[in-house]
Amino acid sequence: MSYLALERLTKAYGGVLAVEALDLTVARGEFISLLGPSGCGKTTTLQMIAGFVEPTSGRAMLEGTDLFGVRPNKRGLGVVFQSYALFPHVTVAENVAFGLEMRGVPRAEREQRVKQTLDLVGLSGLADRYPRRMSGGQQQRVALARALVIQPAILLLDEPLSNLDAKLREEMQTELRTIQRSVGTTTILVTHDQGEAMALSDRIVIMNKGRVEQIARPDEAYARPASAFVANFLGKTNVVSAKVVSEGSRHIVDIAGFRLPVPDRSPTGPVTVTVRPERITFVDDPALGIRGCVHSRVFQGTHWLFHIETELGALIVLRQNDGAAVPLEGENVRLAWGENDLLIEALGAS
Amino acid sequence: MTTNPKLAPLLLSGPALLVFIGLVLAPLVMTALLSFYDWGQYKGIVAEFTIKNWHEVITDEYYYEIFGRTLRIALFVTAISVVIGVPEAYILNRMSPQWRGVFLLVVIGPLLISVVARTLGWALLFGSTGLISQALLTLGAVREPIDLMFTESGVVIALTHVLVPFMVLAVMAALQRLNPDVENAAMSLGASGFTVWRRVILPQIVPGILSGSVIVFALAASAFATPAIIGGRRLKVAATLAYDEFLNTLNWPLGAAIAMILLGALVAIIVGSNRLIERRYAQVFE
Repeated sequence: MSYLALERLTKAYGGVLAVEALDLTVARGEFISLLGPSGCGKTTTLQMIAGFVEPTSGRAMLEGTDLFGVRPNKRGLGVVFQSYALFPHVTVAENVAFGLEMRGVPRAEREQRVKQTLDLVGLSGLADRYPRRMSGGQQQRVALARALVIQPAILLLDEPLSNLDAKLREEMQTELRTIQRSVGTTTILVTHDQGEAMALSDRIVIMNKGRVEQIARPDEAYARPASAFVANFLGKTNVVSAKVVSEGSRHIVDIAGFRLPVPDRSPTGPVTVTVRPERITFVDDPALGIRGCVHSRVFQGTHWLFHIETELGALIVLRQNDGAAVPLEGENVRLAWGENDLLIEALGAS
Repeated sequence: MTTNPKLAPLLLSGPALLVFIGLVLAPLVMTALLSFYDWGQYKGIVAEFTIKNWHEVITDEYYYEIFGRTLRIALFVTAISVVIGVPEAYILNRMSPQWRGVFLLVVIGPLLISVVARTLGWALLFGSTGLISQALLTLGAVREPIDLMFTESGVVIALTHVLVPFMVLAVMAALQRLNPDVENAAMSLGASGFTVWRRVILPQIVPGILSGSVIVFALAASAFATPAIIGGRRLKVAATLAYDEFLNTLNWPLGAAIAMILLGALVAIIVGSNRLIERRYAQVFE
């Protein structure tokens, strides 16, 4: 049975649907990310669960009770904000203790739990600091401790890492995941950073314009995106036009003369084909693939990034830096990929 | 033409400095000097050094009463402005931008009206046959007509009316610096609306309330027109006292001494309370 179930959750501002009939079930202890560009409705969804925004319609069932029937301050959810939203006028320990105080936890137990939680987030020595005297990463940890100490039914994270610099963000991602695993709190993360969503989550909800595009495990969504939007949003991708024809008993996709067999259920006629840049290989066989010319190549440490001019338009190709020689700028190359590396969508189906 | 680069800042700030010296500093210094001049009924102002003006103000109980009244009025006005102005600012700050604009205009309205017109308006309401007295009589809240004219209560009400906007603006500035997420954070941790206000909002806007209080206090203590019209000649405060010495008794040196004492007391109170604010909140607000 699901722990949290969002049923047809909808929010309209005036006539504009910010979130449209969102269905989502979350298992206990699961880490879910709501991923999408700004304005896709991910934050609105989180705020409806937290109770900061009144839903237009729909339900949110937490273990069988409707959350929307409970006042926001009685929901017992932990929220971490992008701006951290710490109380600037009290110390770290008092920040973390606030939620326990509201619950009438006796002082001795309160102090013990605050200390435990500060240990958990790695802030043992800083209990008496004021938030303004801390770095962004430390403030982030305080915010996390403050949300975790109340042992929330759900931990809601609203872009918690986006104000940190890249290196710190990566560190915090690892730590966030470790902490979440160790305390086992069901967590919903809102982010626009696909790398963050893929690194942290058990499942990703990819949203666009208030609607869910796909709910899947990170590797699943990456390998088998449900739409061109998902493919584009989760990492770099190439989208080219092609057509599917049936030849005898088989279906063949014809990409500017490069022909590959496709499953029989593929729609025939004009289609768009999506290929990941790391799935494209350089081939020597002049009978195979698509002809192109290297427009530019950029060295990125672990791999090379190529922009290749072809008759289909510019394609990007990622080549693992395995020490082998790579084509030079201006060199003519042939590009090919396998039949399993394709995502085919009928035109106009999006 | 070349000029010494060290002179540039001086030359650039020169005009403003001249205006400041000419219009603020010079009259102040002259008033200070004047307070040490001698004065007599028949000889007028004599340029002879004496401390008798200061001695008179400091020893005569008549002046104690007036300065005490000035302080009392200023404290009441400040306290009432806090009680009215802080919730007012909070409500204004939560309004939608269009309504906030309208109501902000209503709040600062008193400042847009001439002090004389506004105060005479209060005078119409305050008298024993005025609107307030008549209304309370009709409602049965009081048995006899009440007369707020020439009373401290009347002065306090009229001054509060015009000074509350300064409190509202100071507190609103503090409220706008708050992170709106903080309220939601407190709510998600289990705090009710009132608790959020008391434990999270209020402590953060205390510096705003204190700076608003300093402004209101200083303006209330040095107000002239309102106490002059509502309080009249009977109910003197420091500002009307100095005015009377200058223009009725023509004892300018004594008036100057009174003005300097009022100025000194205000500067001492403001600097002192500023120190207090800075020390108390240095940890949190820097």
